[in-house]
Amino acid sequence: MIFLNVMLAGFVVLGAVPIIIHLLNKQRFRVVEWAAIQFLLKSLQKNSRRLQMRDLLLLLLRTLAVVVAALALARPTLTPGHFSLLAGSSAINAVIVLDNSRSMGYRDGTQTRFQDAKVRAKAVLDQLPKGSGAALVLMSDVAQADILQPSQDLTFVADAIEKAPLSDGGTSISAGIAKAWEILKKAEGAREIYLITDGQANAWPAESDTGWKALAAELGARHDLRLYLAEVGHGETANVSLDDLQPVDPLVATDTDTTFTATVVNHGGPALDNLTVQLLADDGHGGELRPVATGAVDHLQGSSQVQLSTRFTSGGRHRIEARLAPDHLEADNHRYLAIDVIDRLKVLIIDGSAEGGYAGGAAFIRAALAPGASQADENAAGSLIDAEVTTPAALADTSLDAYQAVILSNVADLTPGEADGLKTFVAGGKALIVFPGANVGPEIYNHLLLDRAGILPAKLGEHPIEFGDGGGSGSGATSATATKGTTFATSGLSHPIVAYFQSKDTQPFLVQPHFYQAFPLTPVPSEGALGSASAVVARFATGQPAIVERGVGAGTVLLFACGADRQWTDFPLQPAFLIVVRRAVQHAVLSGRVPATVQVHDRLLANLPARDANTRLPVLDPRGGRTSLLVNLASNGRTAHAEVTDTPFAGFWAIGEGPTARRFATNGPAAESDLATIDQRGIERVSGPLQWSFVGAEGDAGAQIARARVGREIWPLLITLAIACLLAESYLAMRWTPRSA
Amino acid sequence: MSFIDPKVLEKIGRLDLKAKMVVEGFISGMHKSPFKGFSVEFAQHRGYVQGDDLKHLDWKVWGKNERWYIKQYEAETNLITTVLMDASASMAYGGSKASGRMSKLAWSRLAAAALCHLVLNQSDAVALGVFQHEITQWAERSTRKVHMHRICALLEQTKPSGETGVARVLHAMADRVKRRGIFFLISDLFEEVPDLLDAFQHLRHLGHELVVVQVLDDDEIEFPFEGMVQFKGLELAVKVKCHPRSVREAYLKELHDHLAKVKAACQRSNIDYILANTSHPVDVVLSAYLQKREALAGAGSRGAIRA
Repeated sequence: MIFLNVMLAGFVVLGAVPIIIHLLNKQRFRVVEWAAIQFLLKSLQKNSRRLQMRDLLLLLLRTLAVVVAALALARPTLTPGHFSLLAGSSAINAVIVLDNSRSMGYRDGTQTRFQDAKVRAKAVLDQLPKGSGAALVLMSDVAQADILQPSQDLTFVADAIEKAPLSDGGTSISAGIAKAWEILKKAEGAREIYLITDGQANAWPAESDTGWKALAAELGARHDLRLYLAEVGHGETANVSLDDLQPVDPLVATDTDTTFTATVVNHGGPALDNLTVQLLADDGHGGELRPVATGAVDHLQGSSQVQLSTRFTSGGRHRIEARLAPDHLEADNHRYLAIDVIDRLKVLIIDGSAEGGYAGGAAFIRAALAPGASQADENAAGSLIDAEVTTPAALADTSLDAYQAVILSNVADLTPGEADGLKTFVAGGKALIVFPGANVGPEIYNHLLLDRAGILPAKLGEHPIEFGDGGGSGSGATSATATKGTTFATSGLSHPIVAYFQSKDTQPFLVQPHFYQAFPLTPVPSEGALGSASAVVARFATGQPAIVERGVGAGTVLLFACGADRQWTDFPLQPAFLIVVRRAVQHAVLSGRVPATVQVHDRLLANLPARDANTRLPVLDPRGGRTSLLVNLASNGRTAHAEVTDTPFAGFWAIGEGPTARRFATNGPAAESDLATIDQRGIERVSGPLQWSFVGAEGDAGAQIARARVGREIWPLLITLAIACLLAESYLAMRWTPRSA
Repeated sequence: MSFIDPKVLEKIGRLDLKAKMVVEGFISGMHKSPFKGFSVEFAQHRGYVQGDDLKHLDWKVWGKNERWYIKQYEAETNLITTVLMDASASMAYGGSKASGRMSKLAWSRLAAAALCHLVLNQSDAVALGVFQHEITQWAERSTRKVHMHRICALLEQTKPSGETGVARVLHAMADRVKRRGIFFLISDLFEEVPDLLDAFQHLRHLGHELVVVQVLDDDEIEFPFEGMVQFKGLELAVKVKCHPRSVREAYLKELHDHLAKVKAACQRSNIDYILANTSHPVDVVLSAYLQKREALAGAGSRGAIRA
């Protein structure tokens, strides 16, 4: 039994009033000296027991009337499972869907919404009828069943609620409800789902969401299922967040200025002035983060971007964090990045021309990658890229393990063994860049690298196509005299390799090169055994693909339609060549790497040497938690990988310890910072056939749920009983006590 | 016949005057005495001795032989009246002061005085006994008018106290008064009826006539109390706290049962019974009884009269 107005239950003490009056009346009497005392004594002796019983009964009726009336004021409600004869219900299987998304960390005073939600969840447990069971689902943008099936040990459930962590994920109501129903579907009897959330509008699916519509239709048809929505928070929407942090140039290298763009958003609330954004970075070896740059937003209304620059002195994976001053929702004032800073790359250039040097294009490529190096000094100091040139004949005797990238420049012939070797090289996370030229036989490439190895991004046409009359076929014509041909297209420059040319300042460089001949490329449309579908990086102005990319295993293959020599183009002589080749190498090398910055709840994957397989590595989460995981051998048998399948917290993660630790960054969804709420009408509109019982954010959740539940209020019964007591008392008093002597 | 306003009577301080007024109020309308006549019979002569009252000298003998003889008479009456008045503690009850009623004792005192006055007026002898558990004060019978003063003085001195012992007193009086006569018993009779009946029959067996005047207060008859009341016994040392409303019915039943038994006992013993309410004037009560008695005497029978 639950009292909806529990404060008024205190009036039950008024039941003592008739007793007190009775006792006082016994004390207040007048004395009469009486002659006929013996008759009085006789009458009392004969009737004393009856009179006492009458007095007692009248007193009982008076007291009962007062007590019952006081209880009626307190609005007692019979909950299912208690006094089942009156309430007509039984035990309940309940699932508490507890919103632990990032917005629940909003702090109003000393308590967060999540702490309030825990209190409400326990209140839900308290009002469950005897014999009921409860399960717990933690809901962010994924729903996790913390207790897999309803447990009748409610203390255990309460303990699980107490220990439930606040995540940095978004919110998905549909995921939470679906998980709850998955649990309840197997349960018998009355079923209830309690959704405890802060009512964020973007947590609810769109009305047109087909999956949600199907779920709502299924649950709405269940008459033995009740849904309750208990809100926490007070509808505050003012919030400032860091929604994004990205390097301006995705290819970050040492000893160059690197600029990051931090996006600051004011979600509702008044405009803010003088917001400071701080950038912190580590030393690349797992050391502490230290401030490296500071930016400011003078006036923030809506969103604003802040540029923060720094320079990395060492390569490797760095942890970057941007910070805003704390506000009510502290978690979204941070943004994390784990980026690979390129220090030195080793690239092997296979020169396929018989003449060597600039004739085959290898020299142009090498000059582009290591511009300060001379032919004599192959390991030019100061260059980020070490480029070595070798011949196809020497390829068979060269170990590729030391290189991050291999570039085939006009290589005429390849053996099947070399093709297989390149496949393994690429699949292991390395890069292959192909510049076909006049020496290349398309059928060999198509056969070995596409059909056999499955690594070529596009099929080479049988014959090169000519663009205008400016380019002869292997005639050695120079581009200097050419006036026709084609150039790169200036639209669709979204790929990182060519994104540099998006601005007006850099775009003219891209249209300077002229191409007179090129292989027609037909990108591979479907995924092969190892490779993904191909993507066109850049096109000629004529629309033909100029550069095509394909991911193969953990690596990347880039195919140019034209060679790096001057036979078919003047591209090697143009500044754009230097930029494109360098970025192509850097991109191809980096893109093979597993992303180090992911969304909360995405997986973290660390590629490791095969020797680490079947060992256990520690995993450190951003909140200092420590677990361990087993390193598995990859299917190719040459590498191993460690995978963290769930990442509920934003911040920096580490797989392994010490200098060899693989570090990652996770961020919550930007949408979670928008605290705009949805009202009951909106929820009802979105929910369609689902019927919610709403429990307001104020007051006793247990009492509100009891009121919302189809429990039975028995105050009318009690009022009737009180009136009956009074009538009976009056009737008996009149009957037993004559009014006049 | 005219009765005296009780309020006027109350203002008269002397009991003998009160009794005289009461009696004169109702006797004036009566043609003859309600009781049997009295006579004085000559007994003998004796020689005069100094100090004898000269009015008793037989002047006829002195005229014949000049000797002084005193005439002696045997005082024989055909009505010897004994009035017995209960002065136990229970007779003190008179309701609240606001009611203005006389206490049972005051009413009994006036009734006793009136009866004595009536009897003496008829030159009959009357004796008065005031009793509680036993006779506490006694005035020997006399026919002399001056006897009335002694009776009144004795009644006025009477204070209510002690327990009542009606049966015991009646038995004692039966032993004490040898000659047959009339006994007036004025009491509230709060005593066990079998004991009373035994005493009544004792007196009747000896040839005495008995007139019982049971005196009760209005409160005792109606039991009109309200609110919580603690009743404190006037004779019995007990206290009873109760709500009078709740016990009224039972109390009245007990009282009425008692009165019915007393009345039945009187009827069985051929005793006149008067149930007197102190709210009714004494003269009214006595007058009604005497008229009834006169009527019944004419018819040759007697019975209990209720005032």
